[in-house]
Amino acid sequence: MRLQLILLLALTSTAVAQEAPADDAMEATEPSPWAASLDALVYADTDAVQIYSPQASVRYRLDPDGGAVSARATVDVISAASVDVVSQATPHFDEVRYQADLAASKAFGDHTPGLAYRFSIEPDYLSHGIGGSLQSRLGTPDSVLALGYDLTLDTVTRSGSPNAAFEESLTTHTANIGLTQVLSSRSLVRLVYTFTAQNGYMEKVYRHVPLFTAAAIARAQADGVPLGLDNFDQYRLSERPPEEVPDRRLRHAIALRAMHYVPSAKVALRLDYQFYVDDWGLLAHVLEPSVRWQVSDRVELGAFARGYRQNAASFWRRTYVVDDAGSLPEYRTADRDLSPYTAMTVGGRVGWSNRPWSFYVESSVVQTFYDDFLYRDRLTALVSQVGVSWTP
Amino acid sequence: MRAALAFVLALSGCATTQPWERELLAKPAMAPDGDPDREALRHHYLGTREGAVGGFGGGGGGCGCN
Repeated sequence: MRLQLILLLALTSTAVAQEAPADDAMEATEPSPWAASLDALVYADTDAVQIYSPQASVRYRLDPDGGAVSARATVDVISAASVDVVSQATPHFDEVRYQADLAASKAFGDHTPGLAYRFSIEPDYLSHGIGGSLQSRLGTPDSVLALGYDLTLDTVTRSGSPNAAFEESLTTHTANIGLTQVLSSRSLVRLVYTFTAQNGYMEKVYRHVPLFTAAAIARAQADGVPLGLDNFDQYRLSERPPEEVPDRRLRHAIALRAMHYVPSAKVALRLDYQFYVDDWGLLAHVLEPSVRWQVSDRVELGAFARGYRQNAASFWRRTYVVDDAGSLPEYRTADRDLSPYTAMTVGGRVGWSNRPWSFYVESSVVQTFYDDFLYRDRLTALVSQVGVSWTP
Repeated sequence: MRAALAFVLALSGCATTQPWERELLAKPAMAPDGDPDREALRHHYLGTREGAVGGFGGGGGGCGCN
């Protein structure tokens, strides 16, 4: 019986979730506090955008209840000729972004406060982020409340221009509250609400918006050609004003995650749903089911899907029609992320582990259908993520 | 919002599981956060390709230009 109990405790001590309810008894069988991992994400789409994002992480566990000190470095290497930009006379560009994250948390009884700092730099964008968090067991490890606040201070410049010529700022406050609740020995749920308030410059520096007169639109119709990427230049006004969006944005998101383990099949099921709304009139739904199957002690297979649907921001127009170049719409954008669209993702995952090493690779295809985007009706992307971890 | 509050309160009234009943919950595939570093990488990508933010998503720095 004692041997069985020790074995059971050893199994439960493999939990890696920061907020997963843990038990003090695990301490006796804690593995090494060190862990390190290397990951990389590769993205390529039919809009001529490629992104390579390698990442290195190291973590030192301070306690079995999620307290840890961690550091992470990420690099984004972006090679792009997106129609959003290129069609407005900006050539192909390559860019590198560097990001560093530091975080520390420590458990004090049922409470685990944490602090985090993030720094990101690229040629035209500088970002500092600080955050605080608190996780608390509500009298039982089965109910964990999480509170968090982040402040991000961004500075936007224009690549190739002295900062004095163009410099804007953006301040982002993010607050969240979440509850993770164990429902049974094989089921749990998590509910999270996030409020984000942004103030400052939220345009894209290089993005310009084509303008059309009603006569030009009528002429295109008379020519029998639907306005699109190939021909809009023939009908637009010569003026190309920069994008202009509101300086304030209040964003709300509520997300629900349900997880269930089927021991007879060694399968973990997960279903995520998220609802998002903001004061720009954008409303979105996300549904993401996934399954992970423990094929053997060392091999795991997974599959996932993600459905994303959003409507348009209130000031979104496929074409901005004006009387003349002197009568600009107050707000105007060519940002497809403010347009109505649907994105569908399907993917698979293979994982292998043989302590202290573990490895995974996952790939997915993302198909986006734009309802009302001048430059493009659809976009296909391939996203792959691969990583190796060392957890002695 | 009221319904969400009622839901949370209802959840917190669930029965407590004992340590020896937590073997399945302790499996990595049942970690509600997943792997935090790998999720951060994924959510940064999602944050730059989708109009919505928040919820389970994190973010990361940078403008996330196209």
